[in-house]
Amino acid sequence: MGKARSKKVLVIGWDAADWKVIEPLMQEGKMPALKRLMESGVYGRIQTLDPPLSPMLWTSIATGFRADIHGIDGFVEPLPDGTGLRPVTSTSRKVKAIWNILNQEGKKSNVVAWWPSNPVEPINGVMVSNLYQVPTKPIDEEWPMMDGTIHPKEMEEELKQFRVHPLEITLKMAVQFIPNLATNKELRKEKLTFGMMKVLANAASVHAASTHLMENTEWDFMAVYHDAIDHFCHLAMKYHPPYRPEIPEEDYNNYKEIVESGYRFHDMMLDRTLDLIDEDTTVILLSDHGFHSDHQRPLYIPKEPSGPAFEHSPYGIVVMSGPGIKKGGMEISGSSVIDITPTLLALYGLPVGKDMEGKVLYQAFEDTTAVDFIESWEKVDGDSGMHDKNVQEDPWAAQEALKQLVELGYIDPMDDDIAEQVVKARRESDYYIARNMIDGGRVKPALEILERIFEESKISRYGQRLVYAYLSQGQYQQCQNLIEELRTIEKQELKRIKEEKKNAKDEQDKDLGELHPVLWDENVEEPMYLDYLQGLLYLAMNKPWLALPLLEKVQKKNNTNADVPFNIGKILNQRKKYQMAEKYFIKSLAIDDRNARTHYGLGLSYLRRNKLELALDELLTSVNLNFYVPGFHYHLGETLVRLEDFENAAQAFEVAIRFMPGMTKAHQWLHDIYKNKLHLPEKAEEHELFIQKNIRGEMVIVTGLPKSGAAKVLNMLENGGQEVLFGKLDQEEDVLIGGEENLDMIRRLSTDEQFKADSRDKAAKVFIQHLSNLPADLNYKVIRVIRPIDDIIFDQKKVVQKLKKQELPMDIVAKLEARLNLFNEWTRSRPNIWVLDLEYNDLVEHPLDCAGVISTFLGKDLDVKEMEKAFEK
Amino acid sequence: MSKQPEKKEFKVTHEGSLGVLALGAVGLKLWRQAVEENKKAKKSKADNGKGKK
Repeated sequence: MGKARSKKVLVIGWDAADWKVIEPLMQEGKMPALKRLMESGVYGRIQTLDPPLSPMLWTSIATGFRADIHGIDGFVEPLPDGTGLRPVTSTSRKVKAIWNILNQEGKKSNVVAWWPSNPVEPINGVMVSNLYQVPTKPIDEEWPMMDGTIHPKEMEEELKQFRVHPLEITLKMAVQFIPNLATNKELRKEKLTFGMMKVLANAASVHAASTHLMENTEWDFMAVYHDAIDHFCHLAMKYHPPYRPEIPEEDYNNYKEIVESGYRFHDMMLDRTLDLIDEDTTVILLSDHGFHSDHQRPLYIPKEPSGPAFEHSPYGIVVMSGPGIKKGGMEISGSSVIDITPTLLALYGLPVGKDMEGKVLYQAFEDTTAVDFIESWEKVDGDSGMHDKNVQEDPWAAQEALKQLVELGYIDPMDDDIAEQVVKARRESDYYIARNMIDGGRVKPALEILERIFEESKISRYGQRLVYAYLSQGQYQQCQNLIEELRTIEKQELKRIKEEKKNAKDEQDKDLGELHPVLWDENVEEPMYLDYLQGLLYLAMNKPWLALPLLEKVQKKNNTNADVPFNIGKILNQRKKYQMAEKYFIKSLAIDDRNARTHYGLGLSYLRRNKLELALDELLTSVNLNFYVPGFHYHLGETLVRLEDFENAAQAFEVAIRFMPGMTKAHQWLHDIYKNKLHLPEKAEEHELFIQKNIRGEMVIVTGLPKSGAAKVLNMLENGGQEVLFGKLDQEEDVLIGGEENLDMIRRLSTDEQFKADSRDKAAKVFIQHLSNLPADLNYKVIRVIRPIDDIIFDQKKVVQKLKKQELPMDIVAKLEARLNLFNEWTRSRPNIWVLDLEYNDLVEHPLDCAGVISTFLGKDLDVKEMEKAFEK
Repeated sequence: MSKQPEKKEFKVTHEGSLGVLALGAVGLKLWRQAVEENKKAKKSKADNGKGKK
């Protein structure tokens, strides 16, 4: 066991808490307890996982695993007998939570209202389930405590008294949230008023139970989860200031204070909670995701399962304070919800499971000594206090909670056909698992799930995800086919909706407008996401000239999606139209100013236009928002070099190579800075040696079938400023003659060390059939020129006639295809090959765009204008 | 972490308040006690009123 940093830890969960709401409140002195907690420790943003659905996330927080491993895959699960659905239960969790691990280590835990924790687990300590606070009876009836709500059972009576019924909430309490209740009696009958009272009562119940346990029990670990901020926000974020004209003014005036009051009430509860801890306790307060509170608030919530999650934003809050934690209110970055369990284990001095995805948040610790690891906590025997495998939860107990989920819009009301509903729910859970896998970088297994559920259901949002998955895997043909299929599906859907609208008009159905956003615009022919997906596909296929008009079209219609102007900016940067790119990056930041890659894109534009101070600002912001991207640090370093701030530049490059040790260019910069600017020859030598010993050289290879235009691309590269090693001579090649001269040069790379050393960073044209002869210990950036085989054969025939050689063989097509297979085998066989495919016809028609694509692919600032000219020649 | 130097005392009435709820278990008990006392006082007032008649 390692050294413990803390004896006791209190984790407080505030579902959906977001700095964007908190910051202005704190500035006005309205959240003093949170401010004190921040100032005494560290704070920062915490990244959520996709999909941002709370039961999955809070289980990832408590386990360090993603949903496909921890087993909590949505809001509902089928009843064991398959006769319906119930809210997801703790019995579905397949791995140990932090309290189970601590149980094995002899520690006592109190867990209150964690989602999901019903039925409670038999831990050493007290567990109060997430159904504890949910009222099941009218106020004048006995409110029984369901089985599975409290562990140990003998504490049921004691804790029963701390539940607050929504109808106990008094007018004096309620007017803090809806001031007009004081004078407007009609308002007291509104559904939203009752909703607010219910959320407040739930929060008060959880808080009363947790404070009671804090005062009356011994514990080493305590976790308290509040869902109230999320629920207040889903109820009333649309009324939160600033006012939006789409919202009825009367409603705005009635409900505009609900969200703020919800946050302030949490601060008051926090104040009390902090009063009850001792000096040995470390506090971690966090949310699982944020909540859009500004212009990003959606005006339309899709009528689909988990539709309300559209209101969630990707970053929540994290604050840590107490023993083991740095003091002074320092901001930390790069935290993810999946890091919490490893961080808790590190606080207790326990080893972290190697199978856990998250990392220890060392930047929050005073002592940054590395923690120990074990293979897996799942393999450690002992009394973990987990459920017996045979435990089943009483489904009746869960019905009220299920109703609440329906009311919040997280799940659909039950269909008459229960079996169908169960199938739909299973499919939906598979969809969440697939998204969660993609978010964690495991795209291939997710693809299989998405393909299956889309095939079964033809639900367009499954198809949309599948498009993104295909894109990330470079499966462009499947992607194109799917976009076409989605186009057909959407056309049919639109026809159906328009029909419905026509009928609804007759019936004066005013609510229909909420059904689908396309109803707001009579002229819509298909949803614009299809153009967006098509634009992204073209972008991925290196056809920016086709992507740009589509993205611009989408941008004109929808100015709420920050990704659209970001991608346009990216294309313009590639085209070296930096000034125009800046405009789009700024547009994107106006929608979402916390996107690190947009600040980075803008910084890069400024850097290329020599606006160094502005570049520095943007690149520093990108690094602050996401510290873990080596490219951000690299370009920050480049900017600092140009500002002649060599010390900080060296620091930036050092960070870049810490994340990507093989980043040759950063080592080269460091060598140069230490040698010539900072005069630290030892350090300079260190990097020189590192490059020599550890960094493989990188060559740029241009290849393709004979007569596909590879030689022209090599000329293009040379004109852009790329040094060429061999293959410049556009020798006539044909499918019969293998290019012996070319092969000789390639062999020399393996036999002549000096020649090999000289090849670093240079370009060469290599015949496709010779690629496998390239030495395996170099890195290769390969530009493959693709041309239709018929065109190649046509040109080959001309070569054959010119050289007066024999006729082309009958099996020429098969021979050419065999060579393409050789290429595929070669790229698959080695991990150090990166490929850019360019079509010959695109090179001819859009040489400037292609030059930009090549320059970006190579990570070099080539002269694209010169490259374009060379190709035209 | 530094704590607030002093806490203000306040009276718990049957109407309750967010401050009372935020006190947690202790506040809840006091508030419910105040509600009960208020009920009793009302009842007794009503009973006295009846007696006077």
